[in-house]
Amino acid sequence: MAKSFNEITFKYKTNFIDRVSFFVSIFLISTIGLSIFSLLNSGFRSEDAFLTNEDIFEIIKFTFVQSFFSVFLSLLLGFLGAKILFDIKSVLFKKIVISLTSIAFVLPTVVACIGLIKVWGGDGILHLIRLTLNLNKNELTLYGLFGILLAHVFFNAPLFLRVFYNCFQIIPVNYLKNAKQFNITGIRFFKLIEWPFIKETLPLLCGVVFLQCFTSFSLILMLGGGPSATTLEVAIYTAVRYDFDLKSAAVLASFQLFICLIVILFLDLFSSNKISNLQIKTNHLNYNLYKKNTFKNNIQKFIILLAYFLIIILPLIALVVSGLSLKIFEILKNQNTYIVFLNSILIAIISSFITVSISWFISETRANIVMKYDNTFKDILIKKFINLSIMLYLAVPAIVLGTGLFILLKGFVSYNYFPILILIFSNVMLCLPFSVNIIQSHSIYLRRKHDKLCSSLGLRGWNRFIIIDFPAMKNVFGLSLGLCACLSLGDLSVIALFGSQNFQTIPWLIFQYMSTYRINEAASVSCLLVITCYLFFIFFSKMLGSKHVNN
Amino acid sequence: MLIIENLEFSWPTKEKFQFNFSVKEGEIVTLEGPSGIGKTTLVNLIAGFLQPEKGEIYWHKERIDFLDPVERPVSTIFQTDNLFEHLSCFQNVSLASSSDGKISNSRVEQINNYFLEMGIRNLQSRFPGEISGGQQARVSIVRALLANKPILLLDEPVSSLDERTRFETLEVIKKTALKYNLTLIIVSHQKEDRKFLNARQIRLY
Repeated sequence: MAKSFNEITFKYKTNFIDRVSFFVSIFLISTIGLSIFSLLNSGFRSEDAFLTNEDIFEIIKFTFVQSFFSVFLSLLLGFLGAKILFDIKSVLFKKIVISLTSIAFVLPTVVACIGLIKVWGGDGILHLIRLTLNLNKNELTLYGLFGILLAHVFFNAPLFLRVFYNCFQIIPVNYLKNAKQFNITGIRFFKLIEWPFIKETLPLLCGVVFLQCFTSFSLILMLGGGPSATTLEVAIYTAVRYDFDLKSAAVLASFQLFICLIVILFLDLFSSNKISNLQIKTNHLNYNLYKKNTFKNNIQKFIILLAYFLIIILPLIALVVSGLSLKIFEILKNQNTYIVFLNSILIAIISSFITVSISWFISETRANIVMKYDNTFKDILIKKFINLSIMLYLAVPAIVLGTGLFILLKGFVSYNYFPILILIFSNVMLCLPFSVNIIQSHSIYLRRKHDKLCSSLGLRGWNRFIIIDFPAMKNVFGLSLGLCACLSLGDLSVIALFGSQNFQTIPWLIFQYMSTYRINEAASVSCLLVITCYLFFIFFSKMLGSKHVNN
Repeated sequence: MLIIENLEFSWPTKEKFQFNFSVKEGEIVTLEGPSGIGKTTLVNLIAGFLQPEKGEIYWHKERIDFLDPVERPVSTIFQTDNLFEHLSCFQNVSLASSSDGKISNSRVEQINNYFLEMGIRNLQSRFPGEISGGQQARVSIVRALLANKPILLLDEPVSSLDERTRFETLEVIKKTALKYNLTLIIVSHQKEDRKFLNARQIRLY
């Protein structure tokens, strides 16, 4: 029987690439699985635990409460912000807002914390204003639930804004005209016009943000404010690092894994080809309907924009102002700073290249499956398995991974190299979902565009990669490398467990300055970190970018 | 009479339009002219979706250009996306009767009668994606009738239909306009449409 074109086209690539992806996925899942097993095994064998059942219940309750309110507040502010952005006519304003929201995506969490402390902290701008105006009666403490919510809104409101704004942009303009001619406003406008365009994306988006807030570590570590405001992830860290209470750590990790896996399974229900909805577009609506600006409208807009200014923009400004002070010269004179930066940069480069290489293999395998007309049960299983390997790290606490691997590899790997290896592994796992998402959509696009032509020209395998795929994907690789480098440079998770005077990274150094209340030094190092991230991003984009390739 | 007096509008691309004309009550006119000349812009200005920079619009000597779309004596039917995909035809039509979704028994009867008149009685519970382009146009006409406005603006309502359906839909539009004494302003690229509707041409240059 003659083979269909579909089969002939894919045959040249699937074997090798699919095998590599499959083995990489097995490696990732088994490494994480073994690390969890080794911690749980050691933990449940231990006899004494410092944490009581009530303590654990309180920690779980707080983790849920802060995650729920973080999602709710981010969603609310993101939605209202997107509505304003959609209504405002100025293209320049839209561009500025979108650029600012992009900063929040790539800004390291430790850096954002410094910015928030500079505005909302005890010696922050708002505190000084309150003192000046004699309004210091009901003082809000940043450290605790309030600070955690602020920080989560800082990172997630821009994400909601961007996704909702994209959703609003695809509302047909005639729907909006109909709404105007039939006076559909308020809650009815939301139900009839906006809801149908956001409802598809909402569960997945809320789920991902919930998971991020639920497993949030560095923000809680820096802004949590002690045992009364701690999450599962930070409680595991405290149990391991300060008390070496492996039993409590194992119990907490079990709860976290169980809850997060349920959320991941829930996300999987909504993930069928919806992931592309989360990708960021920067199109601008070139058609604005006339809208009367009433006093009430203007007041509403002012309040929302003020909230954005105080939560997102002012912390960024405060960070730059305080970071670029004379302290920066002291930091630059210190030789240790260069060693720390070199450590971080090397680890970030290695992690980024490994991540992008793995991402390409996984993306190609997923593209193979997506582009087949009829997927077999085996295809679906492989896809689910690969998805699990990418998403698993969202559920697994970095501290569990680090501790588990430490117990597992103790005696096999020298402690001198261990933190570096585990840091690279955790960076790769952290960056994989983003990198795969960026590369995969372009990979599918190129496959659809080039497969038939390459088949007819006999281009296959390595030749095809060098001549066709790599040049066409250079920009995407560059973007992905840049993003991975930024994420790796700023991550304070596993390093919190293994950081010491002998081995430090930039986020660890910032955390150390903060722990000793040297906020200005922390702000200066944060500024240097942001500059390093920016240079990395530009370097990779320019190094691999091509003006002849349209992405 | 609808009077468009020295109406000016310009897009950010500096493309500037100026309009001057009048239409008698119950008259049928076609707006014609090459692409980019401002036909749709004019429809949007009359309907209130765009605000003119200068000039006035009068209906029966009353100025209407500062009114919101819902307050203007105008119903508009567009070329595409007239009906909300996620609402049934009945729900789509009922929006013209009440924006909060509540609808009286007498209005339900009126909707039934209009559906019957348009020959689409059995389509009330269907969704827009389940019916043809011509049927969608008829549902839009029912909604426009229910809004009870004396001016009906149609922005290329039949251009995406095949020839037979196009003339069937135009026939419905013409009959409806004559029966309910509607002032009809229709954007069209086809000379045949004007002849078929027995309309006066307003050509934009």
